[in-house]
Amino acid sequence: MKLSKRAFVVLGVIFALVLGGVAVAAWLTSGTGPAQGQAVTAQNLTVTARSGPADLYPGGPAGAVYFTVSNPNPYPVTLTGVTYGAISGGAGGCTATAPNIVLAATPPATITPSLVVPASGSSDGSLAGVLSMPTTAANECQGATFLVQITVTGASS
Amino acid sequence: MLREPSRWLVTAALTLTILLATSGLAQAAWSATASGSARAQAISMPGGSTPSAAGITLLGVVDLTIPLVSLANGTKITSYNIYRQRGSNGYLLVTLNCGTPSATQVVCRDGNPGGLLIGVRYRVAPRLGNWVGAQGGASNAIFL
Repeated sequence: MKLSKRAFVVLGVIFALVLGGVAVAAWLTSGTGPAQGQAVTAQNLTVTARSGPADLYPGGPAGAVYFTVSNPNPYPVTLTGVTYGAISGGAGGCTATAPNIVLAATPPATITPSLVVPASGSSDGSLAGVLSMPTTAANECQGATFLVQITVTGASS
Repeated sequence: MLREPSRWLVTAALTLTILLATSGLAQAAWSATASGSARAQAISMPGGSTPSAAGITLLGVVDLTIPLVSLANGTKITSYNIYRQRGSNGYLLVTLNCGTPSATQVVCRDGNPGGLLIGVRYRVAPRLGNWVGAQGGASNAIFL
């Protein structure tokens, strides 16, 4: 059977639109609204601080930070990158500022090994060498808790 | 009248289809970003050990042996605040000359103990920068 040029073009465009539609349906997961077809609405991941071993002391090596990432989506996510923001916390007489605590890591950094967060689940993560305590740290910093803002990045896996 | 499409038209249509399909597959691996807080914790200083004092009568000095204490992560602390009590007076912070610490202890010398009739005792507290731990137990008394 022979097709006219017009018919062939129309069929080609329809085919392309169908494929493109499927792809978009699988991609609309940014949480901005309902997706088409089989797609789901992506929900934001959450990062919360968790407790870990105490390891900061004046003049010591940079310590680790601990967090938990929760993934409400029905697909796993692999996190590979991280950037750091403001430091908060401390204790009375121990402010979360340079004489007491400093950022030791150089952002952006990679999460090695990458952190896989299962579908509809959560994973505990830690990053070594993020905060350090100068020798000038106040006596009140003993046992103090510090929080550092982090932004983790990755992709569905 | 029906005509067979030219070769270039077929090629263009297939290329367009493949491009759209593959670009859609690439976007199927969507990016993920999340922000929040991560937590770090500072160690607390341990309390001081109980030192032992030994008088050297000929020299009129007291050698104070201080067992080293460690942080929770195993780091040895080699600097100590030393407090001296003469008689029943309170403990006062004093500065003594200390030798090079060994793996387990450091020895400091008090050249002016002043406890001939009233006795002299010592207590120590670990120091790390501005951090100071709690004072440990009192040493034995020396009458020198």
